[in-house]
Amino acid sequence: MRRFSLLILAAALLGAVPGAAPALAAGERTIAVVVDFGAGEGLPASFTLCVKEPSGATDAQALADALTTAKLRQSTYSSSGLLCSIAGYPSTGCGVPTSSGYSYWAYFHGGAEGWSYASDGPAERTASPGTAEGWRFERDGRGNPSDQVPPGPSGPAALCPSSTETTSTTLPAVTTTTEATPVPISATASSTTTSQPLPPTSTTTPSVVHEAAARTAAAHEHSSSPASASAMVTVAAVGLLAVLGVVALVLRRRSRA
Amino acid sequence: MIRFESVSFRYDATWILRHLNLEVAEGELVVVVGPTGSGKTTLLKMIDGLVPHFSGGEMLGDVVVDGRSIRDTPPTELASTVGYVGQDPAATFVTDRVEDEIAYAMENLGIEPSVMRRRVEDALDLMSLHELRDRQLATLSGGQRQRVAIAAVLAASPGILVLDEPTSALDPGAAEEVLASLTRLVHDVGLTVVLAEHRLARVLPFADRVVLLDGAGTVEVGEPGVVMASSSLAPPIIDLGRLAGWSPLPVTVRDARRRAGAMRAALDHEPVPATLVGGTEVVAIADGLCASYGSTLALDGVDLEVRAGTITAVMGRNGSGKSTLLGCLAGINQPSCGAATVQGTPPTTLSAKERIRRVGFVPQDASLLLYCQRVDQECATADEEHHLAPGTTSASVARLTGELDPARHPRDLSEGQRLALALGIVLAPAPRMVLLDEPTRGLDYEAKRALVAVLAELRDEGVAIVMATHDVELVAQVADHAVVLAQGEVIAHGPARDVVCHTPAFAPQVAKVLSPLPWLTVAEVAGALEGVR
Amino acid sequence: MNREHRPHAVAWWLWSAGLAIAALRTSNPLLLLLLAGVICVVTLALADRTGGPSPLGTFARVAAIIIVLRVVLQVIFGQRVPGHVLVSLPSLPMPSWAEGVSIGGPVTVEGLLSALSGGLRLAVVLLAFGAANSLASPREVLRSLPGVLHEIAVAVTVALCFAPEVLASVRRVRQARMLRGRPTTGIAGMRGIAVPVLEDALERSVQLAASMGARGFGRRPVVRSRARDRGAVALAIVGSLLVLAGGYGILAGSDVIPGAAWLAVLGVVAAAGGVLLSGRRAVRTRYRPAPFGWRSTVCALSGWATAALMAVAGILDPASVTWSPWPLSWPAVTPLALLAIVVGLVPIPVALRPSPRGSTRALVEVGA
Repeated sequence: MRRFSLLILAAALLGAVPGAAPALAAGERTIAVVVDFGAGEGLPASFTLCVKEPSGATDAQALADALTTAKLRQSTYSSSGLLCSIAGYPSTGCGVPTSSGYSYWAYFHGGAEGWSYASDGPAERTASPGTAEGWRFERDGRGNPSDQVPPGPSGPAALCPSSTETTSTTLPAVTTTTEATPVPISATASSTTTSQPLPPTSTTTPSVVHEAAARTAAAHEHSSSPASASAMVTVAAVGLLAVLGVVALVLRRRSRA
Repeated sequence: MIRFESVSFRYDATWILRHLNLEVAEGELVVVVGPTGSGKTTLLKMIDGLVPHFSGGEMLGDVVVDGRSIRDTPPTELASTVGYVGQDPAATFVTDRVEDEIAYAMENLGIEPSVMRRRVEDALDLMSLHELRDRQLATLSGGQRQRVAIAAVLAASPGILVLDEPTSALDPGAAEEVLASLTRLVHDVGLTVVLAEHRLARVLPFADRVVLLDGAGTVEVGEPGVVMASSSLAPPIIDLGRLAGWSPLPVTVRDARRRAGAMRAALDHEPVPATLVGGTEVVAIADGLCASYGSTLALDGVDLEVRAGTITAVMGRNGSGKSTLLGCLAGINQPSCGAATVQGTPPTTLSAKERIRRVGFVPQDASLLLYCQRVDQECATADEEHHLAPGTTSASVARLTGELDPARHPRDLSEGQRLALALGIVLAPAPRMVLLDEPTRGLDYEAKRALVAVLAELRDEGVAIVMATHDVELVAQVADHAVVLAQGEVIAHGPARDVVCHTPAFAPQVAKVLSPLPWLTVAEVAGALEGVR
Repeated sequence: MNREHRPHAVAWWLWSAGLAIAALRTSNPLLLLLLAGVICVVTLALADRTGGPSPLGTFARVAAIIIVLRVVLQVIFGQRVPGHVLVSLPSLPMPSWAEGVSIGGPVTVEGLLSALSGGLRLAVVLLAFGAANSLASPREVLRSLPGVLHEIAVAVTVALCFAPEVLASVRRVRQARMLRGRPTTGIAGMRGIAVPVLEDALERSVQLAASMGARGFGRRPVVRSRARDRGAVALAIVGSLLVLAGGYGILAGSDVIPGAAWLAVLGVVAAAGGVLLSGRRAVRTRYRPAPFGWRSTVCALSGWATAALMAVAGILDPASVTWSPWPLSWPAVTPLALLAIVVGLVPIPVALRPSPRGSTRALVEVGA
C-alpha cells in the first residue's frame, strides 16, 4: 500500500518538477486522466494524471500513457473493445453480472459542466484538447448513465491547472495515506483472487493496486533470478508444445497407414 | 402356435385381408407370397401385434399367438414370444455395436446377465457373426446387417420368427447365407418362421407351406408345389416345370434336375441363341476408373465399354462398387483416378442440363427422383426443367406403364408404378444411356415382367442400358453383357450367358437345372423345344 | 477376472471434461495450445480405431473454422479495441440508435491477438469434446448411466444415431436432385432437400419406435410401485439438472447463479437418492457392463487434476493463467500451470498397450 502510494507520489513529483517535462510541442494537447477504483471513503482509491498526447491519439492512448507514467500495469480489453481491467484490477472477469447489477469499469467524459457517461469506447475517440477522461470501477452498477461518476472536479482546467506544460496532481486521498503500514505482498495476494466484487468497506482495493504496482515495479527493476526462471519454464512449455506437435503428426501418419 | 381367426383388415375403404383363416404349427417355415400391396407386411405385423397397435386401421377377427390374443397384448409384451425383423434392418437398430444390439432385447426383458451372456454367444454362433461381434453396425454390409437383425431377435429366444423380405436387399451369396441359417434354426431349435418375400426363387426351396395372397382378399394356403401350380407369381423353376408338364411341380433345383434328363437331352443339339453385339457406337467408356470414399477404395481400375443398343448388367456382392461405378458414369461421383466419359466427355464436367440429355440415372430408391405432390405436376415440372414440349414426359411415362392417375401422390403409387414414373421422367429428354441401380428391388413378378419388356424395347431403340443388380433372373432375361465386380475390380466381363453360367453364385435357376447347357430362361427353352417338335 | 482392457468410456469423458474445464480457466494462448496438443496426442495414441475414422478430425476442422470466424468478426466489428493499428479499414458510419455497433475502422494487433486467443479457447473446448467422442462413443457412456435414467439415455442414443442418418439422407436427396438437374443450393434447393429428408426421418423414427416396442422396450414388470418409480426418475432428473446448473455457475465464475457450489452438491445428493430409490428394483439387466478399474480411475483423475491444478494456479496468481495483449508481451508460463498440462498426459502410459494391432487380436481370442 505504501509503495503504491509512493509510486504515485513519485510520479506526481516527477511530473510536477518544473522543467522536468518539456513544453507542449506543436499539435500536442493535455488530457486529464481520472481513474477511480471505487473503494469508498478514506482510501487511496483514485488518482489523476495529466498526460500530453499528439493530435490524433485516442483516449485509450491517453489512459495507456497515464498508466505508464504511474508505472502501473496496462489496462486490458476484451476482443469487443470493452475495458476489462486497469492497473491489473480486477484480476479476473470483464464486465461481470452480479446478483443485483453489473460490475465493470464505467467510462465518463469530463467537461466544465460535469461528467457525462460515455456511450463509446476510449479507442474510438480521438482526444480533443482540454478534456478530462474518467474511469470509475462500479462494483454493483447498473451499466447505464445512472452509475456513479468519478469524484472531484470534472473540468480539465481544475485538474490540470496549466495547460501549457505537463503537470500531474494527485487527489488528497492518495497523499494522505503514505504512512500506512507495509503489507507483505504474499499476504495480500490471496485477497486478490476472487472475481467477486469487493465488499463496500473493503480495504483490499489499494492492496490490489499495490500488488499490481509492485509486480510492475519488480519487472522494471529486472530482478534477474525469478525472471530467468520464469523464462526457462516458458521455454520448457514451448519445447513441450513442439514435442506434442511432432508426436501428434507421427501418430496421425501412422493411423492413416 | 399362430392362429388367424377370420381376420379382416383395412386402412381405408378397401379390405386388404378378408376372412383370413390360417394356422401355423410349431417348427414350420411358412412363406407369404403375393403381389405388391396384397397385405403381406400387414399379415406379418399382426403376428407381432405391430398391426393394429402401431398402425391404426380397422381389424375384425383375432390373431392368437402362443395362446394370447394380440388384441389384448401390446407388442412389448409379445417380445419374448415373437421376434420381428422388418424390411430395412438398419432402420431398426437401437445401439451401435453388434454385441450390444444382440443383447438389447434381453436387457429389456430383464434376463440374468449369465444367461444373457450365453444366449448372445449362441446367437452369434447361429448367425456366424463371431468375427463381427465388436464391429460398429454402421460399417456392416447389407447381408451382415440382416444377420445381426435376426440374431438380435433370436437372442431373446422367441418361439416365432417373423421376417419381412429378408433377402431382397442382399446379393445371392448373402441371401443364401441368411436362408441357410434360418433353415438350421427351423431344423435344430424347432423355431416357427413366417416370412414374406418377392424373390421366390430364393425362398421357395426352404418353404414348408406357402400362403398366397392375391391382393383381392382371398388367400390360398398349401404345399409350395401345389399352390404354385395355379399362381401367376412363380419363379422360373415352376414355369419350367409347367412347360415340361411335371407333376407335382418341383420347387428345388435338385428335384428339377432329377427330372430334367429328357429335357437336357432334347436341348443338347439345339443352337443357343446368339449374343447381341449391339451397335458400333460406343456411348460410354470407363478407363482405369478408381473412386474412393475417405480411405476406402470403392473402385480400383475399372475398364468398361458401353455400346449403344445393349444392356450391360453389373453384378457383385453388396459393397463391391456397383453403385459407385454407375455414379461415376452418371457424373455424380468424382473419379479419383482414371476417367469416365459419356459420348467423349467426362460427365462431371457437363452442365446439369447437358448431362441429363446424355445420361439418365434411376437410383436405388426411385422415389428420391420424385418430389411433387401429384403425378401430373411431376411430369409438368420435368418438361419445364428439361425444356421439352409440354406433355413429353407424361407421354414417356404412359408408354412405360399405361396412364397413371394424374391426381395421385407419387408416394401412394405401387413400387412398380413409381419406378415407371421415375424412369419415364429420366427417359423424357431421350438420353443415349440409361443407368439403373437395383431396378427390381421390391418389384413383384408382374412389375418385373413389365420392366423387362420396357428395357428390351429401349435396347431396340438404340439406347445403351447399364444396370447394377442382384437379380440373376433379370440378368438372365435381358442382359447382353455382364460385368462382375469384387472389391472394386472387374473379375469377370463378357457376354451375359458366359458370365452367369460360369459363376455359380450368379447362375439363374434354369441354368442350374439344365447345367452344363447354357440356357438361361424358360422362354428360350420353350422356343428351342418348339423347334424340336 | 479383470476385463479392463481399456479405460471405461465414462473415464474418457471425465478426462475430456477436465481438460475442457482447464481450458476455460485460462486465456493464456501458450497454455491453450499445450492443452490442444495434449488432447490430440492422447486421442491419436489411444482412440479405438475399429469403428472407422476418428471424429477428432471433424472437430478439429470445426475448431479451426471457429478461430477464423472469430478473427474475421474482429476485423469487421473490432473498431473499439485500442492498440497498435495494423491497417485501417473504411469505417461505416452508424446511425445514433445503433451506437453500440461499429463496423470497419482500425484493425489493431492487440485486437487480433485477443480474438485469436479467445477463439483458441473455444476451439480447445471443442477439441476436448471431439476427443471424448473419439476415445469412447457417447452411446457407451449412455449405456453406463444408472437404470433410472434409462429412458432418457435411450432417447439421447436414438438422437445420436439420427444425426448421421439424416446426413446420409441429405446426401442421397442431393444426388437425386443433381440427377434431375435441379438446384442443390440456395433457398429453392434447401426446400427441395428438406422436405424429402424430413419425410424420410419421420418414417425412420416410426420404424425405430416399432422395432423398440417389438423388442420389449418399456416393458413393465409384474409387481412394481409406479408412484415410487416416477418419484425416483423425477428425483434423478431434477438432481442432474441441478448439477448442470451448479456446474455452469461454478465455471462461469460469477454471481449468475447464487450458491452454485451448494446447488451442485444438492444436485448430486438428489440424483444419488433417485438412483438408490430405484436401483433396488431394477427391471432391466445389463449385458457385460464394462468394469471401472484402476486404469479408468487414473484417467479420469488425470483430467480433473489438470483442471484443479489450473484452477489453483489461477487462484494463487491470476496473472499466470490469464494473458492479455495489453501491453504486447510473450505469454509466460508458471511451473504449476505446466505441471497441470503434463498431468493431462498421464493416460498415455496407463492405457497404452504395446502394439495396438497385436492386442486387438488377443482381445478377439479372449472374447472367442
